[in-house]
Amino acid sequence: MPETNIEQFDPGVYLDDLIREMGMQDEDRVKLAGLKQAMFEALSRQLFQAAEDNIEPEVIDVIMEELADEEDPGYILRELMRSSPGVQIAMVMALDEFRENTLEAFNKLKI
Amino acid sequence: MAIGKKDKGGRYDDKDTNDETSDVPFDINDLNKVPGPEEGVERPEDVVTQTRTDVTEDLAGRTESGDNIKNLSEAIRKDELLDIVFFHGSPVKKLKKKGYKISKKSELSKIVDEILATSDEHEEAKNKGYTPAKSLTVAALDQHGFESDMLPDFADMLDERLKEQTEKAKEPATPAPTPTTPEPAPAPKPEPVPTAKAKAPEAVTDDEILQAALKRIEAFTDIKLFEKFVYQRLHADKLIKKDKRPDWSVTPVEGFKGSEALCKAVMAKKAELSTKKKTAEPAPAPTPEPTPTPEPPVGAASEKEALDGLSQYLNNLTEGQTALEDLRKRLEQIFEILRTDPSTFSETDKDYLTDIQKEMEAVLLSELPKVAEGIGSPKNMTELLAALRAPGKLRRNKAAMTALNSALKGDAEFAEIIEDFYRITGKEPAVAAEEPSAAPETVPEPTDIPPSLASAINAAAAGDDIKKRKLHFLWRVYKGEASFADGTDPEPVKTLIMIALDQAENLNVPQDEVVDTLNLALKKAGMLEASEPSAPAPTPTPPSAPAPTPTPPSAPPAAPTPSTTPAPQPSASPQASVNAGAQRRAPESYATKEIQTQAINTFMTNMGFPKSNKTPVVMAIRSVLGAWVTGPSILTGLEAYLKTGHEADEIERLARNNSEEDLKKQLHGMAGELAGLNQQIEEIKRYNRLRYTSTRTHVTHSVEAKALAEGHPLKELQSMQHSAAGEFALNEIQLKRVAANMAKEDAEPDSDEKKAKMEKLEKEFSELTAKKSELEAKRKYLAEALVILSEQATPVTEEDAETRGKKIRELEEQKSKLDERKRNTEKAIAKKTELKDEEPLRYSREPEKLLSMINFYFAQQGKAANKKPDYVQILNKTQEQIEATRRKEAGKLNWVCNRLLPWNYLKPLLTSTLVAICEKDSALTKKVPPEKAKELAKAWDNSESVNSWISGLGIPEKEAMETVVPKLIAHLAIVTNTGRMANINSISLNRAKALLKKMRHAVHEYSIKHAERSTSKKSIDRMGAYFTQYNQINDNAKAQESIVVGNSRKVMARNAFIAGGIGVGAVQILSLSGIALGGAGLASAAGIMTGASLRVKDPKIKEFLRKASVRTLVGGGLGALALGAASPFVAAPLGLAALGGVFSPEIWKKRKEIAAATKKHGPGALRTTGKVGYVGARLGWAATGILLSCGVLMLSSRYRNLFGMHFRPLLGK
Repeated sequence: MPETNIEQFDPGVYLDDLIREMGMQDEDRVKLAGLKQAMFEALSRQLFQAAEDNIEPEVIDVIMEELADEEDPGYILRELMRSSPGVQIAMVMALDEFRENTLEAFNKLKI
Repeated sequence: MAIGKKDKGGRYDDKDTNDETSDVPFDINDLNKVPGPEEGVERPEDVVTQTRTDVTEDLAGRTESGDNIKNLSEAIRKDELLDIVFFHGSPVKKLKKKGYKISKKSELSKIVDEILATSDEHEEAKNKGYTPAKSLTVAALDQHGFESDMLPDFADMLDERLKEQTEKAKEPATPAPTPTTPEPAPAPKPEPVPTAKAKAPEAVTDDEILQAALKRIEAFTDIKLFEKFVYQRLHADKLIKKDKRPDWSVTPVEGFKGSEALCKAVMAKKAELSTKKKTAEPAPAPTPEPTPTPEPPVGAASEKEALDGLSQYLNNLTEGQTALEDLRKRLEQIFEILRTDPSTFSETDKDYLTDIQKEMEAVLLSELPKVAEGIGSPKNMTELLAALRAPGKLRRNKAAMTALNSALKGDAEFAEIIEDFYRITGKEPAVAAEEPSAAPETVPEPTDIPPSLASAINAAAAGDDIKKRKLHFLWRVYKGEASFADGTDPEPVKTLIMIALDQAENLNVPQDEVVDTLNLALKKAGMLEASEPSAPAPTPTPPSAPAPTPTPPSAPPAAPTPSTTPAPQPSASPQASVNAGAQRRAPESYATKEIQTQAINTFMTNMGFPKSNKTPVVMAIRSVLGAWVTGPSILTGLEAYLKTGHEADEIERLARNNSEEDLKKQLHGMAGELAGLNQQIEEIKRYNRLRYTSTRTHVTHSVEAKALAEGHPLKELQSMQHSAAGEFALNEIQLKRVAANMAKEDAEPDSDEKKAKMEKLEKEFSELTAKKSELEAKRKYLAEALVILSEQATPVTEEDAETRGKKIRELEEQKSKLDERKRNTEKAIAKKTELKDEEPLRYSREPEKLLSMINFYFAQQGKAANKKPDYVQILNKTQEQIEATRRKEAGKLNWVCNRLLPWNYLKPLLTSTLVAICEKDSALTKKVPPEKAKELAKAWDNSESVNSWISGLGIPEKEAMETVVPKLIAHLAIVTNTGRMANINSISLNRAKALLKKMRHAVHEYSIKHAERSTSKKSIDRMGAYFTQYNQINDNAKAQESIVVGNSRKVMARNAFIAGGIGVGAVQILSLSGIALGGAGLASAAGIMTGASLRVKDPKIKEFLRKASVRTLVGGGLGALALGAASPFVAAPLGLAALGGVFSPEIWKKRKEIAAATKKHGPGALRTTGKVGYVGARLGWAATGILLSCGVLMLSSRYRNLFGMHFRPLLGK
């Protein structure tokens, strides 16, 4: 898995890498898109949870207000991460956990 | 042609044989229309042709006569008609599925109409006035995503084609057509659809057919793409089986005269193609029959060759696919065995596995080369084959797997199978490696060692397997996968391995050093002493002389033998080096530490922190540095990062670290330096020039020049040279002027005047000329003299010339560096003004924040440097260190105080929180009774107990996992929310976190289980199922924040009240007991006084005593009443009033008399009535005591939480 640069974190790229790590990049594209979507949901949930756990709600409110029109979740995540190093670390951990879980599941399921 | 029974064309076989037309496969007319490769002629060996024939018949049958309805319906059922008429014809597939039996074309249209009537496109088409056929087409095209603009045109075209077909079908003379090429690819471009014609077998001779066929054969060399398409399409349509291909070695058609020739031609073509494939030279087709269109293999243009190459490639591809297909099947069989009979496998039936493996390898080896030519880049394949051919490597050779994967890219399923194989058989060596060995390191080679370190390990082991294994064991210790059996402290070893890893990945560190570190690690682990003497052996190492005398163990650095083979046997010489290396390593690392310390101190100063290296910051940095980076540069980066939030560039750093004046001063200095450098360079260059001239005149230094050089100092000579140059220039001008005058005079008519003038001019000219040569000589001497002088000053040698050149280069280099610096400084000054507007430093001195920034920076650096330190580990380690430091700093008392901060302990405990959650959340109320909630709180530290808790809920797993657990997770997430005020007591917080993690894990596991139930065997489907489940569970995880927060607040308020209650209660109890006491005292006093009053004779005194005793009694009674009301605030004033009553002014005045009377009569009175008072006093004390203890007991039992919170941490629970 290529390392993730948190400051330029892009969920899409991250998931692509993860999918590649699972060796699934050549799967049926439609299925892959579905899987990626599902992964994305799970991932962003974890990341937002990590952010929520580590940022004061007021700060989150401010950020979310600023980004009300932003549609790219990656951007929102990056903004959240920028708010404090603690969040960054928590998110790195969340990413790791996600990756670990995903790979573990994959290893169990790939037979 | 490939028609008939012997064909391998799948389900067509039977039907075909029934067709009476099957012996007329080709339509000459049609064939003649297919001259070029671009038209997509098919290969006769393919099944396609045969199906085409069927369709032809069908089409033929579908004439206006309409009597061959059967054929038509057949064709429709085979979808073939669709390909021709309706392009891709999905609508008719629908028809088929609906079970329509189509008898007539009109009926077909009707039915199609009917189906499409519901569809919007069809309505639209109808509205546009399309005929049913057209609208059908429109729908079909639309379905394929074509532009609607194209539709009418295309539909028209198609209609026309249809008409044409019908017309041709009418002509009896036309032979049966091969419907031929469907669209070569599902391209959007509507290519001409081949015409279908009515059959007329007798109209064409077999010979004609044969010729046409041969022509086609010629044509299809370069049309493999099409062939592949047809093949795949047929396969996709399930018309043929993938592994069934037409066999051309068998005469294809009975009753067809040309069939034999045709077969031969096909075979020849095939042979030709395959020879082409093997040898690059194009072999002429050895067709036995004269082919009308000769294939021009030799003279073919490169284009043709390219096309041939393509077709060959495609050929290979198909062959490769077939081979792969076979291989896959075989592998699947093998795995089926493995899957269905796992017991065989788990028994480690080694032979069995070996057999499988052998078979597998054989299969791979025999089959893959075939694949290789078709798929994958040659490099991949070479790697793969090399990996595969290495005996026994496959099962654990990761490289083979990778190569295989990349070689077979695109075939994920196959890769999966191989992966399976690897995984399954990969277990085998682990099980098999049970050979008894005392050393704990007999384990399979770890695969996760970075290659750089692995090579260092190899170098350190130098062929010694045992040592290598030891090192591998250390690696596993480092990874936390193993530990020392003898209880050796693994930390130093881990650190050393970490250092080795770092060194190994740093290109600047020679491998020897890495080897040294590894050896040191071995030594630390106590693994070197066992097999080696701990000191350099007395036998000195022969090759290197520095330490010929046997060095005692205490002087290890004296034996710097090249650290190579450290054999484990106690043989002397090589081990010396190991130890030497190990020992030598130590001072070095100290040095690094010093550098680090220094760097850290600088950093601390720069950042404005105290220099003390006991601060957590230093600890953090050091823990990272020690683990990972060397050198101070990282700190510069860190500094910039902390100050700017990113790694600043040189200019920014300059701008930030210097004041503007400083920068300007620097700039000024640089300008001066630059000027100096320029001057130096110029001087050297000038000297070089002089030297150059002098070498040319070296031999012929004239006497004059020597005299000049001797007689004049350099400066004078230089000025002489200047004036000589001036004189020379003047002379030149004069000469020119005289020459011009002479020319002018010359033009004048001859006269005496002219003659005189000319003479004068001529004289002048000759004088000037003489002066010129004189001046020239003078200049030459002067120049020479100057050279002589300079030579005298600095004797010239050739070496000097070289050094001068070098010096110039150096100076130039210095200059350019200086220039760069100057530019940077200028930019920095400019930047400075920019920075002024910027926010100040980003870093915070708040340790927590700062530390996380440092941690994060290092984590990032780890990535940026493309290393892979386990930064989470680093972070954890740092965190531990910080924690330790903080604890040490704060001291135990401080820590206890932190933990005992009052309101932390007002927050609820995990148990009560869980109980509250389960009570309040309606989704949980019925499913999780309070006892269960309490149980859960106890299960926080054990994954298994969490799982058994879930299964012990007594509700279906699905419900438990999809409603209860997610809800709990959501609530716990809020509970542990640390960003805000945590909603739980600090001790419970960690438990709650742990519990949360375990529950999440349970969800994860459940999702996996769920996905495993999925019927699909494809990883992607199962992964999808996993995530769907996972997300669904999380979707359910909607918590009511109000529950947790509300509960927390409520508990806090209650506890606060209780805490307050303690105070109030204490006051209450004390006052109660005080009142009781007072009451008792008063009662006794009253008793005494009453008793006395009975005896005293003096009526006045008697009266007073009576009054006093009454008042006392009243006061005491009222006090007791207040006590009964349990209100100290009431009891106290009443008591006072009672006391006051006793001491009324009259009584006070008579106090002496009363006292005397009481004294005189009191004891007697006490003996009689006063006993009451005594008992009362006793009772008062007892009541006080009972009240106090009751209060304490009551409080502690009722509000034990409160006390629990306080005392548990102290009790260490």
